[in-house]
Amino acid sequence: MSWWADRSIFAKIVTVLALAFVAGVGLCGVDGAFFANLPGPHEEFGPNTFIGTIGAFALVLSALGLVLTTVAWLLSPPVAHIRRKDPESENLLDSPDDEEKSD
Amino acid sequence: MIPIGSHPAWHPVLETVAYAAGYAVFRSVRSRQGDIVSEPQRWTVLAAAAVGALLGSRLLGLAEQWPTVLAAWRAGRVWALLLSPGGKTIVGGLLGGWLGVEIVKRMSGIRRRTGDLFVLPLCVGIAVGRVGYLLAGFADDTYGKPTNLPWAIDLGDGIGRHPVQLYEILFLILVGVLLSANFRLPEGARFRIFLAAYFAWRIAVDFLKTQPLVHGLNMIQWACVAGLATLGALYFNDERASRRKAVQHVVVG
Repeated sequence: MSWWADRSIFAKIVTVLALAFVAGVGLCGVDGAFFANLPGPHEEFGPNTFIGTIGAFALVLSALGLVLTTVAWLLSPPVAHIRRKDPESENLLDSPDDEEKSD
Repeated sequence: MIPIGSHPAWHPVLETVAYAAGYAVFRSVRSRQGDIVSEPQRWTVLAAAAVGALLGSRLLGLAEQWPTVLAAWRAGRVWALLLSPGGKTIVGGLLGGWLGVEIVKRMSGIRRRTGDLFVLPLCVGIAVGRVGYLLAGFADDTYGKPTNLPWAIDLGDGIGRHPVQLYEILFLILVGVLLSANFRLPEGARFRIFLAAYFAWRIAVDFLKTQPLVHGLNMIQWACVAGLATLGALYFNDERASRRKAVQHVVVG
């Protein structure tokens, strides 16, 4: 397996964030489907209940996280490549075990 | 005529249920059949599929609504449109996810074909999601054209329409059952057959929908044509490669 594929921690985070994004969509949907007709003043767009607020937070945070993690995932191979070319930083940052795993 | 009405709030709920159901089926199929790639490689493929599908479904969804996007661009509120919910398409998700996986596989040196495990989860997920589209009614642009057929549905305007979402659910059940049958196929063939069948189906069924056309087809149908052309090119490429391999085998032998 190549070194790039071994960076599966990024892939796991991206997948979990994508699931959180979808869960956020669902919570907003539940909020809209079941609680849109609650008594009291409502804005046209926006959460009606605590569920909707959690859903909106999940949507926004997971979307931000998805963008950042995907960028970090894509940048990790060139960054690591540059780091490996510099022997001093390799000695400081990489253990011999990591080097073996990356081959 | 069957009264359905329009319940747009159910759309995101069922969209989430669809993803959850698809993921549950994926885990079940994977534990039953095993996997041809390692755990880290599967995570890599899943993540690439998720990101590619999110981007692809949104991009094609916007392309599908090109008159609205054009109007928003002229009015200087294109960002509001980009950030608004809705406007996602299954075909864009499939094409984006497929492209994302192929790019990441090439970058990470994964040679195996990883799509077969996704066939049944996709059938289940899309079918459940289609219930949401059906309930969304006029809020979603995927409703059918008027018809006098006895199974026509009324979305609230008193006009009978083709239940195109129900047609698709039936199609997905058929494809899911056929492709789950225990016959031998080359690695990755089930996924490619599923894609080809789904693209061909969408080209046909989208003639029953009311969407803006470009040279006789809507944007989703054009995307399906592109997908089918790519699959055809890949098929002939594989055939040529296997013929060459067979000739080499004979020459060496």
